[in-house]
Amino acid sequence: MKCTDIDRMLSEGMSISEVRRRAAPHLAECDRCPRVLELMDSPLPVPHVGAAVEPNIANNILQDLAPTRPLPSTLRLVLLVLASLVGICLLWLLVMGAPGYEMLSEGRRFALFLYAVVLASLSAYTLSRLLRPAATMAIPPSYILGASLVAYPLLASLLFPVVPHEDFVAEGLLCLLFGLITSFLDCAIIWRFVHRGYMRNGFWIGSLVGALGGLTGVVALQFVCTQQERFHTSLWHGLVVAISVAGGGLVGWRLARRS
Amino acid sequence: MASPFSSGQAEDDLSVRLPALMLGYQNGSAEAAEELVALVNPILARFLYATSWPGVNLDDMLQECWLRIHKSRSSYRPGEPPLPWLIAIARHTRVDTYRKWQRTGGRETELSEFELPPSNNSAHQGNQNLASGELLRLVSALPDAQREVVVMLKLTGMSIQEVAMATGSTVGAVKQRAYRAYQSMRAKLLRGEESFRSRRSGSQNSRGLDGELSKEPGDEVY
Repeated sequence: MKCTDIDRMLSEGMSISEVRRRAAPHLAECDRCPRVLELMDSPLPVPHVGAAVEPNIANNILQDLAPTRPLPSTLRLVLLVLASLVGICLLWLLVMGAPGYEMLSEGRRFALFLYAVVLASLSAYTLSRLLRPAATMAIPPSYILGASLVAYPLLASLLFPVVPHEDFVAEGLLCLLFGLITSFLDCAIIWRFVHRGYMRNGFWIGSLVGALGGLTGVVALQFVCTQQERFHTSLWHGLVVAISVAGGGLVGWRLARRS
Repeated sequence: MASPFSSGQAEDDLSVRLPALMLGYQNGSAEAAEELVALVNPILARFLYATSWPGVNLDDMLQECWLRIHKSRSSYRPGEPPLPWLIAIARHTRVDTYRKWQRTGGRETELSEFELPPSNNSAHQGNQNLASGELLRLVSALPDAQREVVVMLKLTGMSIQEVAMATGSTVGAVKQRAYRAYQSMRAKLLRGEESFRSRRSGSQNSRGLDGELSKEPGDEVY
């Protein structure tokens, strides 16, 4: 046994007594390892904390102590986000019908459905991890946001043909407004769950909420918008996601700074 | 004073009591909240002290940390180990406080040497105190990521998995950081001993080891 084996045992989380027991022959020969173990076995110093600090903390907590509902689990949050997306789309369906959806071919419907479900699930999963202080991030939020911004314009440019038409800007602005209203509605619903979480990074959390809202806006637009044209969809519908992400990030960043 | 977590029984007791207290705290129980503060505050204070920079206002940082814990208590999931959750919030508090300290001109203040903390407990005197001070100096010389891993493993008795949760990294990364930290500490200890021997042979009046290990009475250990 070598000195490095002692370090390896310690780094594996083995207790000092267990290391001593296993490495007894080496410890009898080595003049440094017993010293290292002795040091690691000594307690860290007790810091000086003001006498009033702990009572103050307890008092502050007790003044504002009320029962609280735990944040939904990751799976529940993903399902809630999907339910919110479906619910808002159904609402618009009831109010405005589905002229846009009726124009879509089966293939396009499937591609858009897949896009919405996959991206919403991944965004909600990442959001759920961000809201817990001790959760590992399987997917960095920047990847999800990048995918949110790029995926729809890319998909739209693949799915829809180029059809020159008048009123490109006027119709586009109308779609943008509709998408942003839908996005805002969805963000408000998601925020009801999100605000119970830990503001680990306000910007990322806000951006992801915005991305989910934008996604709902885009899906709702597919139901109501009859302009199934490449430039219209990729620009104006895509802008719904971009503006929602930017707005959400800004709001999240401000909220985190204020708190 | 010995670490409250130095014995296996104390660790077991903590791992049983903490989840129940967290659940009571979430349900609005004042008794649970008070007991939780009494039980966890020393752990947080030691963690923040051992991983922070000299001159930090520990009292303020502790209060800020508890404020965050209180505001985000909904994000604790019943059934999960509470210590990684609590320590993760303490980590974020430390990082944010450091950034704020830098923004508000902290870099302009002159850094004093790392001081041994005052201790009013007579049981903490003597060799144990010297070893504790030396350990703190060795730990404080480590890079930030290695230091917090060593402190978590040593201070709270958290498992490697729990440390990985608290730091948001993988088990492999935690083991690697810990391994490098122990090697680095061993090397510093060795350099300190050699320096001390050479100085001692050169001058009977010389005191101390070298650099960061030489300022406190920890040299008397040798």
